[in-house]
Amino acid sequence: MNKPYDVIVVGAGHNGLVNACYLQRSGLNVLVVEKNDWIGGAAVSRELTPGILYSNCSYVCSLFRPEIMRDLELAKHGLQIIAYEGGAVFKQDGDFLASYRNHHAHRREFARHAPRDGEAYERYARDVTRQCRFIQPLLMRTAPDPASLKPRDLGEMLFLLKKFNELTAREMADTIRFWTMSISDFLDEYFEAEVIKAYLAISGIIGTALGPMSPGTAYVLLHHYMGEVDGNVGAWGYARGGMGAITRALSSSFLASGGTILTDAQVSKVLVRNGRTTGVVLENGDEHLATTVVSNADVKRTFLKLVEEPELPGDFVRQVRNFKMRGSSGKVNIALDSLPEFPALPKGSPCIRGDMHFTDTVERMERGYDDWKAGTWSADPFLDMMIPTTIDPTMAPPGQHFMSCFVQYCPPKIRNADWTDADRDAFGQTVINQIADYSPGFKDRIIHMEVRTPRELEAEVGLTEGNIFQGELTFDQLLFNRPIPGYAQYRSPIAGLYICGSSTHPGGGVMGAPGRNAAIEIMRDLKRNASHASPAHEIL
Amino acid sequence: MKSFDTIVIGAGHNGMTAANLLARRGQKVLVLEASQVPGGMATSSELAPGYSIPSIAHSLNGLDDKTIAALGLAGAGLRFEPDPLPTVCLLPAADPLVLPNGYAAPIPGMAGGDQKNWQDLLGSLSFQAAILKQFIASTPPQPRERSFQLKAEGLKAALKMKRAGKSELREFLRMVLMPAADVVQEAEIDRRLAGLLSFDATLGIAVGPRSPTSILGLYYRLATQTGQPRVPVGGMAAAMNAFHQAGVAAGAVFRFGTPVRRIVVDGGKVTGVVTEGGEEIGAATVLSAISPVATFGSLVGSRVMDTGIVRDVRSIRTKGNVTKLNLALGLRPTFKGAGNGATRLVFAPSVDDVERAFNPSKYGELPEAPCFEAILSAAGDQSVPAGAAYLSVSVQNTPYDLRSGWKKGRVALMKSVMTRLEQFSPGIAKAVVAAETLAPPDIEERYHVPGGHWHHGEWQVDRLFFNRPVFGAANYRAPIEGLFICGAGTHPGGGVNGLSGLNAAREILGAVR
Repeated sequence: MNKPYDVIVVGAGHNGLVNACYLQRSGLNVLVVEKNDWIGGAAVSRELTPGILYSNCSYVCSLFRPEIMRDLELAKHGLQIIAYEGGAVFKQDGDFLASYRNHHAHRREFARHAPRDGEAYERYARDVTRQCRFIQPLLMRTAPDPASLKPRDLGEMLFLLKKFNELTAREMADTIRFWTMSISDFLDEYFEAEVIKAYLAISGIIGTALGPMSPGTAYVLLHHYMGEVDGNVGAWGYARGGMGAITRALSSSFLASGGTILTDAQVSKVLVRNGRTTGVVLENGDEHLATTVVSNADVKRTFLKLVEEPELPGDFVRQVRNFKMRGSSGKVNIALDSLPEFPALPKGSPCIRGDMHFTDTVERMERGYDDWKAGTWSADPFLDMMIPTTIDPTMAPPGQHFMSCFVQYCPPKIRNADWTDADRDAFGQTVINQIADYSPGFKDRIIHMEVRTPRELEAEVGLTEGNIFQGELTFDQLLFNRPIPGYAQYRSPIAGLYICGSSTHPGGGVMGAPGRNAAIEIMRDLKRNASHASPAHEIL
Repeated sequence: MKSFDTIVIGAGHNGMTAANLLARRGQKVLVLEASQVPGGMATSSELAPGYSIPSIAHSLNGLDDKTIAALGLAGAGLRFEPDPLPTVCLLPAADPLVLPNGYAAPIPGMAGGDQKNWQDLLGSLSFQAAILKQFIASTPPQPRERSFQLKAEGLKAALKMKRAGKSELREFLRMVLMPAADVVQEAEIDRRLAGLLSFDATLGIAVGPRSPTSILGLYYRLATQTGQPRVPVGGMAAAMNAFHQAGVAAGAVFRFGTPVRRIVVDGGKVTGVVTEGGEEIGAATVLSAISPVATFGSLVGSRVMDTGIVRDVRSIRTKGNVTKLNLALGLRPTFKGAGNGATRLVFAPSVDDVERAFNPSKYGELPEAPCFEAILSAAGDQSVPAGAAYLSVSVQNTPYDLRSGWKKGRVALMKSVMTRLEQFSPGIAKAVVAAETLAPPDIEERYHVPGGHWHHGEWQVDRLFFNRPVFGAANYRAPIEGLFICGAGTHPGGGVNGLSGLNAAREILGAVR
């Protein structure tokens, strides 16, 4: 029998670690158990070929809340986020659309493709920023239960209404539209050039099992825009040393405050006695006791695998089964012996240091989604491709590079059958061929390559169906609906058992907000001082 | 110059509804209609000698008894067939599934478990639709508005939910914007019914059953449906004549064959209209019951409106995606499952079939296997010769911008639907006496509706309530003094229910008072 802890956190993903850090700092004795022999979940840097670090799951950073970085002193523990400059969409006609961090350069490039789109970009940027400003304070708060009359829920409801009430009538009407539109329809109201729409639609689909023409995807865009790097709202960057740098800094902060991490420790069951959790039992039979258990695993894995079904209300189990986790993406990670060339780009263009894409129309994206609906990967997939080693020299030896390709769409099953290795290889080839079409000699530069389909994501990281957000970001699964109406405040039907992963509000991305918000609820229940968790800061 | 209190542009059923109500309240009302007959898209026309076939709309499901009484339609001759309209779901290589009376009754021959799942789902959908129903029979609440009526409606809706309990409220807030496909999958209803609901949820709207928010189409159907589905005696033309006669009886003046060229605006105020013939007619109030895009774009013109509203109107998605196929048949075809009464046939065998038919329409292509609903006339229907029949078919997912062009498209679509019908009623092709294909561009031309959209503009969440047709004109008032709008393009949307006409008339009476 091991000595009891106050809290056991299941899973050392970024949300589990954020949660553990806050709880440990409130004076609780916290144990983190992780099934893999490394920590980080989907925010990792792994040396899969000698000398080259792979951000082999999540690959860019923007959403991670700066409040959390400050609260947990992550800079002191080695975390550094570097904003990247530029990006490009390669067109089939040989031209390209560049993107730049500099607003004016960006606007000029839009105007090059369609004179009026330069001006439209000003309107677009203003409107989207207003939506970000509206939603950002909601990220760092627990969603109220609209069916509850408890003072706290009423208070939070009032906060939401107050926030909404700060808008003008016109802004209210626009906000409702924005939250429910498809990104394609939304962009049609601003822009003319197809390639510009295709570029801006990207944020509306990444990680989602919807096409750019599906209503609700404008909100998904917001989910990708509401982050910031160094105070630049909407900016994206690389974590120096790969995405694992984030979880490494978190674990260092956690250990420094006295926490304990156990790796290679797969939890087989959460122990429950008389409707209360008493701890966890590992695959190897070890029991660890605690009156509070926090699961960083997704809601399906937590309640359908880690908890015995009779311990839960039948209706709750049904709702968990109905929670939508639809894997829609894959990942191809490549080590290169030299920097690839893209003849479409001018010599010395900064675009190669940012995000690159080959999908130049919204229609091509949507057709990719149709393939997914039919149960196969996209024949002409959408790629979010980057080479972080162009900015971060710590990830590969000089001259060599790590390239990350996020690929959509990629289904959790192939026409209702499990993925085979042959399927996976064919999927990888589809991706490589697309890149090689725009980069002569690309295939000869490859030293090593890792192809990850939803099957691999589920097996290794534990994401059900390989859904990177631990659940779709559709309205029926947002705010007070996430993950289950009535259980959207990080608690579960079992006393002492909490969830803190991306399945909870405000959802996926390497954001940390679910872990932090869950910690605040737990500290409230355990009557701990939570003053070390700062509230959300305002966007000006 | 002649002068009226209110000029109504367009004698569609909403225009006639408003005119009727205004005349009853003592207003001098003139209705100007471009065509020679009343009814707009909801009438019938003669396709072949002796065949009067519903041109576009073919049922009157949404017209409720309160409206019928308020307009005096029964006195003007509106009658309904006594028998309910059954729905027959056509299934490839299987017997059809028959719903004797819309969604209402138990389904014959269905197993207990499936029956229960179906009733449970209908129960929760009807409850949720009833909440939304609080808001459709009146002017939509506007953001930041604090009127007494809004509070009353909000309170009623809140009380309804409160009474139903926490879990119902939570379920409503979760389901309200879901994809129809997810709703039917969660409810584990029979696959054939799932296909039918997917079709009914998406007909006339550019979404597939797997698109988020597609459940709303079903709510709207349930919220505007009046008990049993109804067929007017004498067809749609008879129903529209009743609207016309009731309007005349109420004191409204109708002029047919009189298209309006423009609405006259002077110093920010409406002063009347000018007809295509050049005649100027004065009125302090003009109610345009035609498409909002046509009203603002052609009749008013962008010169007298703010840039903001001009841009908003341009962003209304007006491209229709339903094609109407009208078939005059020499003899009444037999369909397994259909009796002698008027029958609704639906081809939408499964959710996947409906979704697959939707996919190509996104890219301006026709579906390989289109889904459709068709009304088969009753045996003995007076609107066709003795022994004959008509089939009025609405084909979903037929985009306005057909890339290969509608010239070829009309032929291809007719062929693919006829091939399908032939599967279920062999020999039907030979019985065709006359046929017409009204693709969205044809509807645009014939009914002067830009885009040829049933609803005058997409009926999706971002264009509902205070955003329908656009923010700033959603309370039936255009941003020009004295100009009002109603019709399918305004709240609550399409369907032959007269609601927007009623709501707009009330706004006009309120403004005048």
